[in-house]
Amino acid sequence: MRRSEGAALRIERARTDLEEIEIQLLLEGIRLCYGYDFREYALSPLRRGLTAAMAHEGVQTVSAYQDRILHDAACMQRFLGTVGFNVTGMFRDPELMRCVREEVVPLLRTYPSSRVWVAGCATGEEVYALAVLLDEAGVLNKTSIYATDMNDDTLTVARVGSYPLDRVRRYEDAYAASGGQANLADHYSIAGRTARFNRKLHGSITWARHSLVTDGSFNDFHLILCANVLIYFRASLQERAHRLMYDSLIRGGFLALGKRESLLHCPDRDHYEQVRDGVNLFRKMRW
Amino acid sequence: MATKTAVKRTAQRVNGTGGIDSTTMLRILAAVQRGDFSARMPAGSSSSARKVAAALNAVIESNERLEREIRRFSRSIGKEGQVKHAAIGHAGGTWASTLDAVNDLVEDLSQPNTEIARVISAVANGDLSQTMALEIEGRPLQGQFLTTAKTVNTMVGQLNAFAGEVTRVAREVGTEGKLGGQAQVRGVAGIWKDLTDNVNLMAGNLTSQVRNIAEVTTAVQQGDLSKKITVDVRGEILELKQTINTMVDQLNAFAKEVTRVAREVGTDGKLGGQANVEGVAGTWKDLTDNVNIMASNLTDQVRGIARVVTAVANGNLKGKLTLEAKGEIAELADTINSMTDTLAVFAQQVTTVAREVGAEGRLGGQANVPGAAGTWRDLTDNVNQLSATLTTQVRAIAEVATAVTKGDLTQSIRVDAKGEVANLKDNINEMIGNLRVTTEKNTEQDWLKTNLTRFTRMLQGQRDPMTVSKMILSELAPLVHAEHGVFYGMVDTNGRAAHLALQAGYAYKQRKNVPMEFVLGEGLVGQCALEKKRIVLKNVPKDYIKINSALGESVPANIVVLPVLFEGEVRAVIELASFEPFSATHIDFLDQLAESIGIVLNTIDANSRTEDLLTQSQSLATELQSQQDQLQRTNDELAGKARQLAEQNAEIEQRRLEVESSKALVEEKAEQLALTSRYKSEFLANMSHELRTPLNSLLILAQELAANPDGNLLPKQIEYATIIRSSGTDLLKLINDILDLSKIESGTVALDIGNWPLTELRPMLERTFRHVAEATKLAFQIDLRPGLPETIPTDPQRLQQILNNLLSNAFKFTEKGKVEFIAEMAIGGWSPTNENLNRASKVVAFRVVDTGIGIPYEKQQSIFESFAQADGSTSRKYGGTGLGLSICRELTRLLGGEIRLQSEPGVGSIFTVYLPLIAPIQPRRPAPLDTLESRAGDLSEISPEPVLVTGGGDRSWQAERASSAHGTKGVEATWSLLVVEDDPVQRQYISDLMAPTNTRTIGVANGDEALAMLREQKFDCVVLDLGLPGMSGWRVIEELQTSDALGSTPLLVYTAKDLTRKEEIKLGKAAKSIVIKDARSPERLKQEISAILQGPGTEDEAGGEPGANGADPASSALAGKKALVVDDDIRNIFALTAMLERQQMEVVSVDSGQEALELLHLNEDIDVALVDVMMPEMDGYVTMTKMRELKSFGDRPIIALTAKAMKGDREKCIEAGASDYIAKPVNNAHLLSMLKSWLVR
Repeated sequence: MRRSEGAALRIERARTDLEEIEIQLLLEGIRLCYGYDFREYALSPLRRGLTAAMAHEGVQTVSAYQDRILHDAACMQRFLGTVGFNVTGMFRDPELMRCVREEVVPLLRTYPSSRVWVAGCATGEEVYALAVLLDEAGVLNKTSIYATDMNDDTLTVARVGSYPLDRVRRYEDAYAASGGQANLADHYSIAGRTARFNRKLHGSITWARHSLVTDGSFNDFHLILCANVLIYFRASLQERAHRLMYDSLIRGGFLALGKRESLLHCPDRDHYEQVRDGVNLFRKMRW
Repeated sequence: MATKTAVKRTAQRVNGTGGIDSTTMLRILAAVQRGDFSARMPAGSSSSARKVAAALNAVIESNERLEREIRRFSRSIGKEGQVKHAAIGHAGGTWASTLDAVNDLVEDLSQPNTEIARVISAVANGDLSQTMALEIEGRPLQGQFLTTAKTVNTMVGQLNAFAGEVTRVAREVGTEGKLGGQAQVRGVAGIWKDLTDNVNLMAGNLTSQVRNIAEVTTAVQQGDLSKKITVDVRGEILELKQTINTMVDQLNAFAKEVTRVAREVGTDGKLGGQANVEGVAGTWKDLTDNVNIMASNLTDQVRGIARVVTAVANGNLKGKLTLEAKGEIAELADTINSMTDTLAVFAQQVTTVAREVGAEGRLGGQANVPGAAGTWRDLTDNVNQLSATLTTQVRAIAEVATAVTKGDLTQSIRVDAKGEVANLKDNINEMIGNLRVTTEKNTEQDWLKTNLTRFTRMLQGQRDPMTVSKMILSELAPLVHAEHGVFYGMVDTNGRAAHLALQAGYAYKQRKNVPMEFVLGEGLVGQCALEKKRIVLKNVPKDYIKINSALGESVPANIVVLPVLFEGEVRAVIELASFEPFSATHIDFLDQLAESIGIVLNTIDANSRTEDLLTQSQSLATELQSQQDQLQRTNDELAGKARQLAEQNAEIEQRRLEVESSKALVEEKAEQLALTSRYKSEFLANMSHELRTPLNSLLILAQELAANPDGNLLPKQIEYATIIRSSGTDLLKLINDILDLSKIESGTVALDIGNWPLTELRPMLERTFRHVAEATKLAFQIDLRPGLPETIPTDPQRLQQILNNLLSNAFKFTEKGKVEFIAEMAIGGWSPTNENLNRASKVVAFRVVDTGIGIPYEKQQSIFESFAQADGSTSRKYGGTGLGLSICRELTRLLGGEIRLQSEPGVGSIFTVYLPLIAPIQPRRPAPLDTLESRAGDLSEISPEPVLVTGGGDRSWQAERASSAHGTKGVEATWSLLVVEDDPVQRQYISDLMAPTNTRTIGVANGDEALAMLREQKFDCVVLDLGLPGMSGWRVIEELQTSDALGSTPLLVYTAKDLTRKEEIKLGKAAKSIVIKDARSPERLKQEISAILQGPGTEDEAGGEPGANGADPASSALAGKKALVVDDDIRNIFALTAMLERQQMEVVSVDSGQEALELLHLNEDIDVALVDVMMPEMDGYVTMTKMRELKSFGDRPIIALTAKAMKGDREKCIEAGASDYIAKPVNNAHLLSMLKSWLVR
């Protein structure tokens, strides 16, 4: 009984080891072939996404999946879509957004113009949320929002700025919790079953492809929002992303992270000051 | 000899004769004897003598001549070979015979020689027939001459024989072809033998060569081409050999080719083969050509035949053989042609039949092939039979089809057929069957739809349900052949449950047991309404219902009960009865009709309800109108109130303005006060310092005096000196206090922050105050409560100064009881407005508790003021300057905390010092203007020991000395800040804001003052408002930038103006930072100023250090080139501009693609453009593409700046028109070398 269990465990482990090798090869292949570098992504979410993607394609082994993905660019696009780093929503962390509204916006007012970077914006909901917030605070017209993601497909979705109406309606509560001053519905128009965010919001956003894994700093920002991106990264990659963001912040600029994220792997964490207890909003205090 | 004798005799004679000089004669004779013929006898005196002399001379002369002749002759014969006779002229006698003998000898000697010469010369000329004669002029040769002659003759003979032999051999071999001949020369030896052997060898060689050639040639002649000349030859013969061998090779090749062609064409049937013999000419070439011609002719003919046959096989019977052939092949061609003709006729006939029967449908056609026989005949018969069978079958099918077309669907095909035709027959029959069924269905549907439409139209516009039900029944019953019908409508009036009531009937007779109404579920009608399903009854019992007519009555066999539904609700039920069963069509019809009726009934219902509602709404509208009028009135009242409010507001605004102006006045006063206070502090600081210096000398001297080292002072004088010293010490203490306080007030105290261990607290206090307590007999307790941190970040000296002061006060004002010191953590108790303490995460409290005289409440505030004690009279009793608590308060404030006092007169006092557990802001730079401390240093040098103030309250002097002695720390450090701001409140505000950071702030109200002030002294930072009276902030900036000295002062713009993007960029070049006035600006302003003051050392690396890797500018190859930088990243614009300008390049920068294009439109002198990829609105790709479209820019280099490293991003740059790309953050050296490669050619 015990022996057979042990054997099963060994087999299981060997299978896992093998799969790990396969995954490594796959990621290396993807990097060489397409330039997307997932090698430093945290393994377990990656593995979950991969399992889902493989089931979707109907392949049994990672190697078989690799064969398909390297020869079929469409498959690669589907991989990017299903590997599932694109889960987002509006005002996902209402506390954070409230803090941005109360602590960051007043300081943004003291600058002649300001720049905000949403790094890893996925399908863009949080970008529009931020634009709504800034619009209500009256600073949108002197703020440029840069929204970047490494996936062209999700960027395309984000650029359009139309979302299923029933989903957008569900954000109303979070919007209110974040200190929203009116109705979220004031900021979009309805066409059939979709909600499209107002032209004014669109005008302030620049969409671009950018990877925190491989690319560099492209401007300095007053606020960087990078929520639920770092959780997919391993420590070394988090460190790189943190350094990139730190380098892209002005003195006294703000960094907003997702709920489950921290400055743990940030080499410059001593230069950040938490703005409010329990909220992942930090200010770069290097003066 | 004879001559001598004669001469001797002559001489003797002469001597014999007298008169002859015998001496002379003797001398001459002796000369002649010696052979000297040159001496002559002189003519003597006498005649005889003269005669003797003459004769003697004549003899001597004859001898001389003979001798000369013989010498000439011998030379002529012997040396020159000229055989001539010797002649001596007139000689005679012996002389003559001597000469003759000589001549004879010469003759004899030359004769044989001449003979030998003749023979030899004949041999030389090839004449071997001459021989030497063995006698000359009849005299046989003798001796040596004979031997020579014989030898010559033998030689000539042998030569003759040799020549004969060689001639023979040569003739035999060469001319007559008799090979193998050999010369036989006998008796020859030496060279002749060798010669003969050579001739024989030559003959042998020639023979073997010629024979070899002959052998090969013969073999060739006999067809054997395998032979080759193998003999070893040289020279011309070698050429011959090679020629022959080549010929044999070519022959061989030719033979092979011809053989191959013959085999291919003839045997293997591979047509088209051609002989290909390389390098042949002449006849061989002709021969080859002939073979080829033959082969190609044959090929053509055979192919022609093949083509025709193939055409026939493929069904083309028009092909004819048109060969130019002769003989047998021509016959073959004819045969084939006639066969083709026959086939063509046959094919045409069969085709005709097939076309007639198959394609044109002319049945009955028969093929007629004249002259066909055998297989052709059979074939034709078969075709005819096929045609006949097909005709029969098709005609049968056609008949039936025609019938179907005319609508007769009863026919079916009955002809006998097999296979596919049988299938066809079956299919057609089935099709006809299907057609029949479908047609019937269509008819039914037509009926159904027509009637439905009729009903719908009929029911349109009806309002009354009773009329409708009657109409329905009277139309419906006959249509479905029902003889009896009732119509129940659903009613729910007046509180009764919904039920069905009879509304109309068809041929209906009311009977007792048939109710007028049904509730749901009651009877079939009720059940039908409940289930909402049609019910059909067959074989109804006889007594169920009867259909009446005037003539009789009968029982119907079938009943159908129909529910009329609308949206699932039952509206009515129809029951119909018939003698005959209801057909499926009728049932269908009824179902569909029920739906229509439902709709109609509902519409009628809805209409009536709408009418009701309309009536209602009309009455409501009236009511609304009246309410509206009421509202209007209320509104008017409200408007009146609003006007009142507005007036009140205006009043309030007026008040507010008044308050504001008085507030400004107050603030101005306060500012003036503060200024005065600061002047006071500065004055005091200076003053007390000036006082201290002479006082110190005084004290030293007084001490010297009191010590009385010389012992010459009276005790009284010593006492005086002691009094001078103690009074002086008091004075010094006072001055030190003043100095301390003024320094604190003027903000020139430097803190030396460190982590101070609280464990030092107890020993320190014990050391200082235990003996005081003992002396005053007071209890002294030190209580360090739990929860304290191990260390606190503070300036220990200052803290100790505060605590010492408080404790010494406590001891001073307590006569009995105790003094207690408590240190603990505090969570409150300080003034609520103290932000420093509020914000601190932890606060520590130091309490000094005494049981002394206490302080009355009204004095509790003023004791902290300078020179104040609770009671003016106490000063005399307790002493002290009244500055201690002021200093304590200021120092505590400096350390970020505060002092609180609780006290009750007669009970005691508690002084509490609250300190935050965070380090106070630590200034760093030494103050440039503060010269006090250096003098303090001087002072300590003058008086190293004596001035130490011992005991009690105030240790500031000691502390100060200690820190100045350390030197490096320096004492007070301060920064200077110039605020250019026209609003005095704002100015003061900034000054206050920066005060805790030990910054000296000077405020000016306009630009002129600012520039004047800046020229006067150096500032660490300038805060500039843009909206100034007179010279605007912009102008100030321009002025500053044109001055090297002033331009380096860091500038901070503080403005309420909203800046455009252009203005921001323009300002950004001059100012370190821009702060817009808003609620949170003070905080930011303070941070920005602090950042500037604390210098570039701590400034962020964000901007990079662009200079480091630039090339040396002097030799820049890029000098004078003009670059355009397009980037929304201002950091980058600045960094690039600075770097490129160091290369002496001209740089223009814009922050959007649109601006770049506009600029390029106007400027054609841009040499290179650096374009950022990620920009708002028009991104870099579009910008570059559009730049390339501009004629004015053309193909000048564009370098894309991209932060992206992903594959494809870079290619995208190039596609968009970039010449090159470089990654952000830009590596300067890399960019420079890239620029050089594009710009320097």
